[in-house]
Amino acid sequence: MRERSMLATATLLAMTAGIGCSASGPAFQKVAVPEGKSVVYAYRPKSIFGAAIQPGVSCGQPGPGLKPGGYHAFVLDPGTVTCSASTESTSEVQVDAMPNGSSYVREKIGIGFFVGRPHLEVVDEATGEREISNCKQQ
Amino acid sequence: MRIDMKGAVGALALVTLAAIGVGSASGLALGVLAVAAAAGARRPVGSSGIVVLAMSLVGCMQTATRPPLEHVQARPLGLTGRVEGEHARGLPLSLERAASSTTDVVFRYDERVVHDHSELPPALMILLTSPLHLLGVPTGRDTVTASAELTVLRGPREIGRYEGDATVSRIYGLYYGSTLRELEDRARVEVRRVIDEALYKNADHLAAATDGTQP
Repeated sequence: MRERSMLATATLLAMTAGIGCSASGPAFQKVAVPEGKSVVYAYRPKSIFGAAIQPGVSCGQPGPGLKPGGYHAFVLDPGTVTCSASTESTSEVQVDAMPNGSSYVREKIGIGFFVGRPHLEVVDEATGEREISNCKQQ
Repeated sequence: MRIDMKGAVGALALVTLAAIGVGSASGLALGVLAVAAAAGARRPVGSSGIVVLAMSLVGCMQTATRPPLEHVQARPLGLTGRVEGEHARGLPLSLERAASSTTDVVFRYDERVVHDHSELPPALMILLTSPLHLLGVPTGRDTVTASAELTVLRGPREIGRYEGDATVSRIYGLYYGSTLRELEDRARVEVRRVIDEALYKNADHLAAATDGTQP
C-alpha cells in the first residue's frame, strides 16, 4: 500500500514538474524581419531530462532562460553572432546571421556532474522551422 | 535500527526523478546505485555496465566521416576574381590567392556550419550508465558539418559551380570536449580543401572560359 502511494506521489510530482517546466506562451510565429536586420531563433525541444533547469541563452544580447518547448527570437544586425548558455559549463556557438534572413539555434540539455549542461547547436533552416513550430514563445 | 527498505526505495526513486529533472549525473548515479542496492542487487553495474562501457567506447571514437583529402598545394588558378559573400572567418586557399578587385570575374562563396549533439538514450543513461559517466565514460558525440558553395561568374554568365561538405565529430564526457570551436574550425578547413581540390581540378576550364581576356 505504502509502495503504491509513493509511486503515485512520484508520478504526480513528475507530471507536475513536467507541466510546470514547459513553456506556456503563444505558439510559434515567424517574426517579420526588419529591413537589413537578421533574426536568430533560439529554441529548446521538449524533454523531461533537465526540465527543471532553464539556462539563459544569449545571442548578441541577453535572452531568457528557455523552458522545454520554448523559443526566443533575437532581432540583430547581420554578421557573426555568438550565442551562449551556461550552467556548470558553457556552450557557445557562432551564427552567421544573414541580412533579412533567419537562423536557428537549438538548445539541448545534456547530463552534467551536478546539474545538466546546455548544448547549443546551429541547425539548418528546414530542421529549425520544423522543430520550432512545436514551441511556444518566452 | 530497522530500515524500511520499501520506503527507502521509494525515497531514492524520488531522488532519481529529481536528478533527471536537473540532469545531474552524480544525482542519477546516487539514485540508481542506492535503489539497486536497496532492491538487493549486489552488483548494480556489473556485467551490463561493462557491456555499456564497451559500447560507449567503441561507438564514440573520434572520426571524420569523409575520407582524408590529399594535401592541396596552393598554386595560381589562372584567373583572378572579386570575392563576394561573408568571409570574415576565412576562405579556401585558392580564392585567397586569386582575390582581386580589378576584374570582371566574381567568386560567390557561401559557407555554412551546422552542429549535431547526440547522447545515449536518456533511459539507458538513467538506468545504467550514469555512474560510469562519473568515471569518464563518454556521454555523447558532437558532430559539425560544414557545407560550402562556390559560384564563379563572369558578368551574368556562370562559368563554374562547386559544392562540398565535410563532417567531423568528437566524443565528449563530463571532463573533456566541452567546446565546439575547435571542431568547427576543423570542419571549415576540411570543406575549404574540398573546394580547393575541385577548383584546381577545373582550373583549365575556368581559364578557357575567361579566354585570357581578364584585365
